[in-house]
Amino acid sequence: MSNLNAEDEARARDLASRLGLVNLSEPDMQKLLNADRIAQMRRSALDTSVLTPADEPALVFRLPGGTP
Amino acid sequence: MSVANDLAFLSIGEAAPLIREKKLSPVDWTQALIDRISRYDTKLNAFLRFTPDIALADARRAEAEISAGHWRGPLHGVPYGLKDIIDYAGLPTTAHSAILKDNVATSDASVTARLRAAGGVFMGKLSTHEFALGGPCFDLPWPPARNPWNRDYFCGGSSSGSGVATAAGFLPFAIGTDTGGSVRNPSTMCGVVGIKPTYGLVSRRGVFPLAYSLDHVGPLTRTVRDNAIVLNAIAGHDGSDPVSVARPGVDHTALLARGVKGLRIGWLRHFYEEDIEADPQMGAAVDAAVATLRDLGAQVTEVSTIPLSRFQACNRVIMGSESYAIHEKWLRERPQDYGDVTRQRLLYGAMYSASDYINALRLRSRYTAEFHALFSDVDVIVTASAHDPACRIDDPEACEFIYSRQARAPFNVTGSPAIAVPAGFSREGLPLGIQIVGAPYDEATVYRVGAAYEAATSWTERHPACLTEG
Repeated sequence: MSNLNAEDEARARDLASRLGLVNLSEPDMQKLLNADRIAQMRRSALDTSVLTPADEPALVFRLPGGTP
Repeated sequence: MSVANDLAFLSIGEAAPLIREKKLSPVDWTQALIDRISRYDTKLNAFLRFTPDIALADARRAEAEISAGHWRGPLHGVPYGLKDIIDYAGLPTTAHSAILKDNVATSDASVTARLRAAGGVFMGKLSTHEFALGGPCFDLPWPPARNPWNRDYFCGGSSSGSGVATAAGFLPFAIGTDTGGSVRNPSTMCGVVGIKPTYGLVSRRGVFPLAYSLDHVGPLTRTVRDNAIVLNAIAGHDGSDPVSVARPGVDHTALLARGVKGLRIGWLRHFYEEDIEADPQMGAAVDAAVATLRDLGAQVTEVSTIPLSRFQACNRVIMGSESYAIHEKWLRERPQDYGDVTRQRLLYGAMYSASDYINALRLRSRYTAEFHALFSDVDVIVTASAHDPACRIDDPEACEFIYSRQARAPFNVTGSPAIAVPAGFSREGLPLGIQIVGAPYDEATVYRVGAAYEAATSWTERHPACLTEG
């Protein structure tokens, strides 16, 4: 059983629906909100203020001296 | 010490010349380990699939070849195990999950093929956290592995069975994988040696992915020398792995006896003193290790880099995004087939946007360049591996608490070689450890420092006694 109040329950259900995670159980609704909270914390810890448009992503990660 | 115990804790470095000179039978060694695993693994759950028949066939083949004068090298006739996300042709690769319980591998992973070619004796598939992510879990088809120093305690993960089997004297080496610290964590918790080699040095082909750009394959052993011997066998270019690097072969044992006199060691203290304050016993162990290296003649200077929390966020956003892409279909269709812990951790990845992922990758480029610049002034860097000794395995809050209190994830971000080496014991008798990090492709110097520290302290000569007591 979920311990969420009605508002959080509705928010979790909406989130699950938008993500296509419609087979999650009642107790998983709490997990979904936990995930949202933790992901927000981690997103906030990404120091994007140091990035400039010239900073390219390590899309294909290679180290100096290595030839794939 | 009994003969059985001698064989249980025989190192590869000791065994290889004996096998070559026909003074040690691979069949006898293998049988002794089979007996030990059969007797004690019910207490530790290191193995998901124990394969004594395959092991004895491999051992007999090795013995026949060596008798005929064909010695393949130091792993010929040496028993080993694979974390169960690594393919072995004809056997299931389950990832410790109900999702893949019937997933039979049709071919060997590259690392398996290399060990087969080296004449290794395959003993079985080893316990892992579910999909190398969720653990310890008690709601999976198989129980979690337990710490051989005290089976009420967590053994670390995700290469949990690999750490346990090596520490318990079931195997002289095992192969694990490391995406945010999963070779080095069980190494530290179980008191063994584990390396995450440079990204791209060991092929990932045939290994179930957790996060493509962070996944590494590496060995766990009881000594530093053994670790270098195994890395020699499994490293090398593989055209079927798009990030595998083509470099000339290196003998990773070459510098082991050189000591550290004159070597420049960077002491990365803020990771465990300021950024995330380590348990005092763990912090003291790292400080003492640095003092030992200084006493051995190394030039120690303090270094600083990006705060640990920044590295961790970068690692977790990349890992979450890539792992969610892999698991999204199953999370939609059959979420209840995952364990609770795994389902929770996979769901983090559902929350990141494309720009979160790209920004994490952009920061990764910056962090990698900044971190590698340190190696113009030092040869290796020493810091913590885990911030805490093992917690009780039946305490999920404690397991979750220590999960992120670690200094390993930064080196998955930077791709650097990083080894966990035992560094003593807590008051409760649980292992402590340090981490030694090198410049890209300079595993030989990392091993050099690890070997000097190991020789000065003898921590790796201690083995858990709880299996044979009581």
